[in-house]
Amino acid sequence: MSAFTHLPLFAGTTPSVVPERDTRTVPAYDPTWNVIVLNDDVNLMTYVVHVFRQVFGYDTERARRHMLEVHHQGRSIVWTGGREAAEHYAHVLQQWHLKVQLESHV
Amino acid sequence: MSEDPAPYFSKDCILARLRFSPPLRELLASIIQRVHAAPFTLPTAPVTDASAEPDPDWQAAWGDSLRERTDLDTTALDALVGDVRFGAADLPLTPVAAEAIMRASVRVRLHLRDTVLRDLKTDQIEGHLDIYRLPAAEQQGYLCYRLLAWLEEDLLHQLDPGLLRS
Repeated sequence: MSAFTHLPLFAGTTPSVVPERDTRTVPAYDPTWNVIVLNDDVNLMTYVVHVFRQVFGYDTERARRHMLEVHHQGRSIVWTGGREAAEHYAHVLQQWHLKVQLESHV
Repeated sequence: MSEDPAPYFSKDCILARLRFSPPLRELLASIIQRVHAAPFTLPTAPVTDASAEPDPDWQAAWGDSLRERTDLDTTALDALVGDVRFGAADLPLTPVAAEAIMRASVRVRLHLRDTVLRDLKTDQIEGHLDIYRLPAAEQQGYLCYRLLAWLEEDLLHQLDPGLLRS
């Protein structure tokens, strides 16, 4: 199953055939991954809070804290965890038109 | 015994309730159509393994999925703006449609920001400018940009009333 289709946030909107990743390149250790949202001057602050609430299920206070971190510092680590879930979240955030990066965190 | 009047809309119903003149709706519709017709670069998948060769199939699947979502969202915004009642009456939306419209609206604003409004500084795009000093194309783009931002904000406050208190 594709990394970005295994959580059914947008069930039915993904392609019917999604290729599997080649797992031979995965290193023996299992690093965690940071999902990072970058600042832009188009998205509304309230919109970004809403997206964090919708995508991660954060309460308003936590979502707002991440939004302010993005706004003031240019980036915020909004989620940390396994690679497949990180890729899924990055994909969903891109559907909401947020700028996203992933970085490994060994 | 008094009874509460039955709500006209269900509590889950969101309203597109902005008011503006019909020519502005037509301008908005024409700009949105132009934006949708223009090439739109979807973001690529963030790289998770810099040591590995890029997987073109996986990248393509990532892009296809984003494009499919974006197309669905675009359809919802087109339907709203194409309705002659938009701007003159409250139009009910499901929460799912309202979120799709918001995403499509953001896409249009990002495109305007990258094209016709690319020369504006951040404080200008946020409203600190004299719109009448802008060239006609930028004026129209900016009007559309602000109108869509108001639409997003109004929908957001109905979808997520907790945002009002934050």
